Amino acid sequence: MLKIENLGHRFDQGWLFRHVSAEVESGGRLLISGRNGSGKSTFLRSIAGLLIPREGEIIAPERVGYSALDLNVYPHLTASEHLEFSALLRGVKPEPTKWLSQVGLENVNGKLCNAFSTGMRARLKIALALQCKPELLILDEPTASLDDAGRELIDSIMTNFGGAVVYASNDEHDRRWATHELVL
Amino acid sequence: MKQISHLLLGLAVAGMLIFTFLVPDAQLFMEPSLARILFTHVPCAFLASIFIVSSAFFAGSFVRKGTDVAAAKMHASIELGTIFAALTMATGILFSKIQWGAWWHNDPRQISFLIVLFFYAALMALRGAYNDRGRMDQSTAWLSISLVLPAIFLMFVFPRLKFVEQKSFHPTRTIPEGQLDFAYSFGLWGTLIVLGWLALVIFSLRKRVELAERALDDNYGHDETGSRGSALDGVVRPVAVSEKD
Amino acid sequence: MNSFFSPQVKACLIKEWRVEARSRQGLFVSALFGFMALAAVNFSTMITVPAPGLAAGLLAVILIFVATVAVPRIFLAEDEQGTFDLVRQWGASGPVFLGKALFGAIFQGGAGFILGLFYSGMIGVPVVNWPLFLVMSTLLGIASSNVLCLTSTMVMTASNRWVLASVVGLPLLFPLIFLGIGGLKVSFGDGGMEGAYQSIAALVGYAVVPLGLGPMVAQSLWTERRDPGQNPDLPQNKDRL
Repeated sequence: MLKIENLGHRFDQGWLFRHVSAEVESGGRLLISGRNGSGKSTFLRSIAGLLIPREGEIIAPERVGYSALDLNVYPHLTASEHLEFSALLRGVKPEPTKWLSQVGLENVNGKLCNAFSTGMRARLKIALALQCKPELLILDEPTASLDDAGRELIDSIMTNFGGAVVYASNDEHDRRWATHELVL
Repeated sequence: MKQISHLLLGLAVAGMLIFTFLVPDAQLFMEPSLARILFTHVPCAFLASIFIVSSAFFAGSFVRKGTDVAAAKMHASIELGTIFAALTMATGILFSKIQWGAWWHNDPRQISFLIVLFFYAALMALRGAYNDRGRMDQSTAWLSISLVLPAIFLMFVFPRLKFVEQKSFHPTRTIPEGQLDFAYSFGLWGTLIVLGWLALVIFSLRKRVELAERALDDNYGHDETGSRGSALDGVVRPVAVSEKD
Repeated sequence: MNSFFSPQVKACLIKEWRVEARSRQGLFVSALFGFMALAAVNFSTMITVPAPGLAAGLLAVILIFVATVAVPRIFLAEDEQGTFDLVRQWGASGPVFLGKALFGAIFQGGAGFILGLFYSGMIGVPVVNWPLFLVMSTLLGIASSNVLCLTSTMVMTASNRWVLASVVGLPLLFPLIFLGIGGLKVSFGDGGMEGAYQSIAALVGYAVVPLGLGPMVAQSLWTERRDPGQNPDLPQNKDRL
């Protein structure tokens, strides 16, 4: 499913992490932990194909869903328009109503995203990540900025999602889903 | 062998420099001794043109193969081309002031070469704007490829358009039609060959420096991971949570 | 294969259209800058009516600079507002480029047409060939937009990218001024149609080339996951010293 061999990345100042290897099978939940600045988000961005690591190799499945705190949504589009746009670009069937109801955003239809709270945006990003029917889901701080209902949503994804999940978190509660942990 | 070739180059540069001062002053010039500027101005313009084409060639090679060598050659071409374009412009402006009476003459060829200098400036500006080496190489390569056709037009086609030939003070047919006297002709081709040789040596050195910098950067970078758990030696692998707990 | 008729290009075009219709940022920038430039030119030519060549040059410069301030935003806003990664992970760089370029071309083509009309009314030089004048104004807008789309793609994640998009774009836009003057001055009654046709053909070529290069540039700069054989940083691909 996902194979990482000797991954390393550095910015100008020096290596952020090096010699990291991991394999995650379908159904696996890999927790990436480590203190602030240890490279958790960079590691996830590398796997998501948003950053070329300076060394190492990543073999990832074709369909990858990615959601992160620093990812933003278009302020002048509605949630359904986001889902339609993403579906057309990724070549999947646009089913905005279905996905919005799955993440509890069925009542915000027609509202522009600049009126969304941080938690609502996080839910939309989850819907966008799930929409392409990914084999691998990458979540950076999945429960940050979510209310109790949002945390339940993440809990249900973590429990029921059939593919592999790689997620970064320092929240003790989030450890419960992990089958493996990688400390950076 | 390399030392001998460098010695020969040094002798050739010195010989050509002496020769350019020994040739007699040219006639029909406001300042006859200034005609010698030809020995710097024309070869520099020629080399600036060659380097913009070579930068695009190596850029194409980099886009296809993605090797550091192609990237290093592309960057060396851009840097040397910028220097030669700036020298062409500086010598041209100086000549314009003394021969034609003004620093800037709106001569079509002055303008077209100024645009070529802007091309180089754009390439240099783009190179400096990326911290990420991979992106810097890629974007510079694409810009270099995009600029080559307009540059060829400006340097080789535009000066030969009839209305430009009529308006320009630059002679376009003097050199190709052999109207220069022997001493000036020899001096011009001689400086072109010697300067070209010097440029090739600098090009090769610059390429090697670039590659060495990249090798150093990749292999001996300061390791930030040492203070934390991530590995300096060995490989970091995930631990099964059940095993840990 | 990237085609203007693919649903992905259409989706991107519709998205850009919606964003512009709701934010109107491009409209405000183009209108404000365009009309300010027209007013400035009008002031400077109040006493003397410029010659056809100069009138053509002034319009070409206005249209190119309007595009320079308005077009890069279509690309640069993505990284600025944090949505660039969203598009990149959806992995359709070519169609996204074409969708954005198409939007830019429509927008700047329209701006060229409208500003051309206002210019002809303000400058005091009579237009003797209206179809040619309007075709040239529109084409200049489209060609400038396409060139700037290409250069904006190159600088999308660079530091100081807003300035850099223009710095990198302007040298490529210079030839457009020559071509613009070549066609527009004929529409003001200076020169024959042969020169105008040549300018139109060159402008069309200048507008088309960035559309061919752009998807390739976007592909190589936006997509980070490469075939290991293409990755220059892997030891097996290193060809050092």
